[in-house]
Amino acid sequence: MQGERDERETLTVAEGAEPGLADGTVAEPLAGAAAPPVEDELARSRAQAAEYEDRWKRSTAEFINYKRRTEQERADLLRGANGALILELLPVLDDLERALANLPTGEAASKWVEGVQLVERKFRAILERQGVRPIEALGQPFDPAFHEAVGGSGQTVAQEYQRGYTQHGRVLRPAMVVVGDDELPVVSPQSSEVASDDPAATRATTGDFQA
Amino acid sequence: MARAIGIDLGTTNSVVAVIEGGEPTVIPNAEGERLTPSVVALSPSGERLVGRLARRQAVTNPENTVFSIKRFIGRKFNDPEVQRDIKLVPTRSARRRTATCR
Repeated sequence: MQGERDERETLTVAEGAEPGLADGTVAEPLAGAAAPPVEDELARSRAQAAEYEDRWKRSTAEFINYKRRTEQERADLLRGANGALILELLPVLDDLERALANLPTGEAASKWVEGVQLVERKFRAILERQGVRPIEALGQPFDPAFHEAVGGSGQTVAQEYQRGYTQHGRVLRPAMVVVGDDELPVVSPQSSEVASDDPAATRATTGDFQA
Repeated sequence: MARAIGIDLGTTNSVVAVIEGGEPTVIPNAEGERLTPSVVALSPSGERLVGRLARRQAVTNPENTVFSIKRFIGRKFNDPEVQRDIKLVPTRSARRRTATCR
């Protein structure tokens, strides 16, 4: 009975002292020495409400970020989805290039060779439609973003072992290169020679194609 | 909101992750890979290279490329194991750096 009365009293006190409730200094002298449970309860509930609001805001923000990132990831995935497949197909193009660069003597002018060249060109055209571009390496300043050094020392790409490719600006496969000093002549002698006396080779700008 | 990342610094590869919704999520690097080689380098032009890029130029710039550094972190330069391993590492700068870590 006594306890009930106390509670009622504190309730009215708590209501009256609402503005200054948080610190408890206003309510204390009126309510007596014992801490008023209702007031405590209210303070706790408010603190909890504030915490929940904070958490809710955080998770909302987190969710927005998550959504944004997921969309970005999906766009990247769609754009580069065939990248892994193209990477697997590149060695076939490498081999085709090598085969055409090492034609048996006297076969350069044959119709059959011309046909294989067309196949190679078609392959390139398909890759180009997928956003695949060869990386220029020979004679360029060495750049680890696009070139993978397998030997040498210096600042300029002197030799290219394997051509690199990008897709939509992203490196699919870096060019495998040997670097050399800047003073060294970087243009391979074959390419200029071939370009001058074989008009069919002019499209092979890298000099891989030799009649 | 500030959040902490966790780094698994491996001897050869490292992974960075963050807790998201109570679950760890790996953060991919600029190249879109989840694993980043634990390699850093100082290019001749003074540029700092990290991960895959650092590894690509390692052959041409061995003296300024740091790899497998985990073997040396926290060790004293005079440590017999450090002295033994140093002979196997081409990184000249690593020698200096471990020396300053005394």
